[in-house]
Amino acid sequence: MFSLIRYRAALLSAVVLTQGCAGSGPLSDARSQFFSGYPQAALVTLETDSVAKRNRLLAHLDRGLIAHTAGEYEQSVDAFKTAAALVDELNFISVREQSASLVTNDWVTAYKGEYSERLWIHSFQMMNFLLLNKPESAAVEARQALQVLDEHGENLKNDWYTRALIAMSFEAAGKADSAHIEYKKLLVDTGRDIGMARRAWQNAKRLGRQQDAEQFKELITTSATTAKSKGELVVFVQTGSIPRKMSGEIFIDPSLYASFPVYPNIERPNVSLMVSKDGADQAADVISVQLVDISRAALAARATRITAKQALRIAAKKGIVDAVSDDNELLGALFTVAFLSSEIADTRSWETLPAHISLVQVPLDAGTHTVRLQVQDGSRSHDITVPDVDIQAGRTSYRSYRVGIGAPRPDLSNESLDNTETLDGPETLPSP
Amino acid sequence: MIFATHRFARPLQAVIIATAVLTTGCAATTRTINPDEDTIHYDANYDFSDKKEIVAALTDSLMNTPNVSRENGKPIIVTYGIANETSEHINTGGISDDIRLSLLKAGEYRFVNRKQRDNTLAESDFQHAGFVPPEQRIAEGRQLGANYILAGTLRSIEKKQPRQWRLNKRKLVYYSLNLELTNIQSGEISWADNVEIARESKQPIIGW
Repeated sequence: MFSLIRYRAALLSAVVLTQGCAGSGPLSDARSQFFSGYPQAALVTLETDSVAKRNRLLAHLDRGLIAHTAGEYEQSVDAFKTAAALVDELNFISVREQSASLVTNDWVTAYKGEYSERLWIHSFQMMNFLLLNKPESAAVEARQALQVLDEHGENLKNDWYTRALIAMSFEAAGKADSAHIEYKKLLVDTGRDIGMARRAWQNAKRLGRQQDAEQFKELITTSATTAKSKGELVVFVQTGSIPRKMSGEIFIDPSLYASFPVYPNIERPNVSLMVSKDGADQAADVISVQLVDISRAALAARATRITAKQALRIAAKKGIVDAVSDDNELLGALFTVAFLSSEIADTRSWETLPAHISLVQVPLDAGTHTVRLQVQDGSRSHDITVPDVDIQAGRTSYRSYRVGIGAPRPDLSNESLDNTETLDGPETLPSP
Repeated sequence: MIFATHRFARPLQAVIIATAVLTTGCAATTRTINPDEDTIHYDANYDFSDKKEIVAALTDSLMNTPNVSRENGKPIIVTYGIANETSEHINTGGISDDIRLSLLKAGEYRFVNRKQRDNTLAESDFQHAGFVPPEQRIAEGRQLGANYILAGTLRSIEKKQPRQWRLNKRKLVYYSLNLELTNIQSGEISWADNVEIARESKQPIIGW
């Protein structure tokens, strides 16, 4: 009788093992299309082909980002709203999935997103709503981003880009007080100008916070200035592609090893940006963040949990192999091989993210301008032309571009990029 | 043959019954809810039951305020909407529209339609551009001038249970809607009131 139970357990394990590592075709196809410069084709693939249930979140994240890159901001908003709702829905421990993953690997569980990825849902939503001229909705996303930062702030606090975007969204929605709090927190944490001191100073002056304004002013390193007659162009620049998670292995004995997800530790220089207008250099404030640094910190925050789970999995697999080997050595050996081959780290991640993300703030005189940005990413150089941007005094226009891997091919991208409307936020920038 | 039929009859019946039960269990159902009678909250977030409660409380308060003068007829109001300062995407236009509808139905106030201002101007311009016979044109300079601005703010505070060993995650959400009526001539806030809703929800940490 006992033997029968063992065999049933072994059979069940074998069935689960064969399912554990099934790939997700449509997701992979859509990513290939996106990285080849065909975002619209990638969107069609994600829309028409069904993605495995456990990878639904990845599909929504990719759809949101790809739609954003294609200039389909409303579609991107919908995808990210669905993704955020799914993160909430999946926020529990599934007994069924965890049991299956104990004899296989974490690929059988529903992907719940790293903390950093949960934060970036709101980062992209803030960008989407600012581009759509919906500053109040951008402020709602800013509050949701703050909730994620409250919960996982220690690991995500170096995401200056998102934190600056939170303050800017509040400012655009006319919530100068909330913006001031975020600017101040950001400058206290960095202790230097990361491309935000000028805005923080202006906002503090407007609120009449003289003491803070003086402190912020001392930090300003930029030569960019604003006046009542000026408006502003804000460009969100995404460069390259975030490195993928890899599998790191630790051998416990010749028949047992544990596999962990890790980000490759490759030094990569930060991007630098030069801005020119009508052929002449133009002063600008730039904030750049290398996303893999934040992702690595978020993954490290889960290290204890991943290690505990690995220990349990090793114990469970060893227990099954020992039980089966007692009755049948050959079958035990087969299970050892099967369990070893199923020991694969869960390296799923939001792969369509850029490597770097930059926030470029260009104060400009009122009028129509053609602005050029030169992005230096290591040895690669990319040029972005923002043609005929209409700047109105005291108003902000937003644009978003992706360069390098994942950038739409020029012949296909023109239409979507030209559709990036000049969207003027209601917030006026005061003169210093 | 008879033996064979008899032998498979019971398992077959069992399969049919099991299938019938399973498919019944998965059938989609729809229930009509009466928003005037039913109060339903699936979670701690803002929903239509909250909107109903907010609209009823504030309309009642505004209709019974003695601070708004009615000596020169019904006060004329222009609504400037309700700012959403929550962390949810709430269409606050629905709240202000419902409050306006309730006040209009009660007949205590008159409203000018700010949202249609550009359209009414365009229509007026069109009529006076020579396309409409003079006797059918509306008279210009006859629009109502508002006495009061109705505007407000919806805020929320969310509190999650701290991380600890537990079987449920608790979330407490507090909503507050402040609405105020400002006299356009004097700038005085003639009336103000608020509605507060606090709700707690529980979500299991472990599930199937």
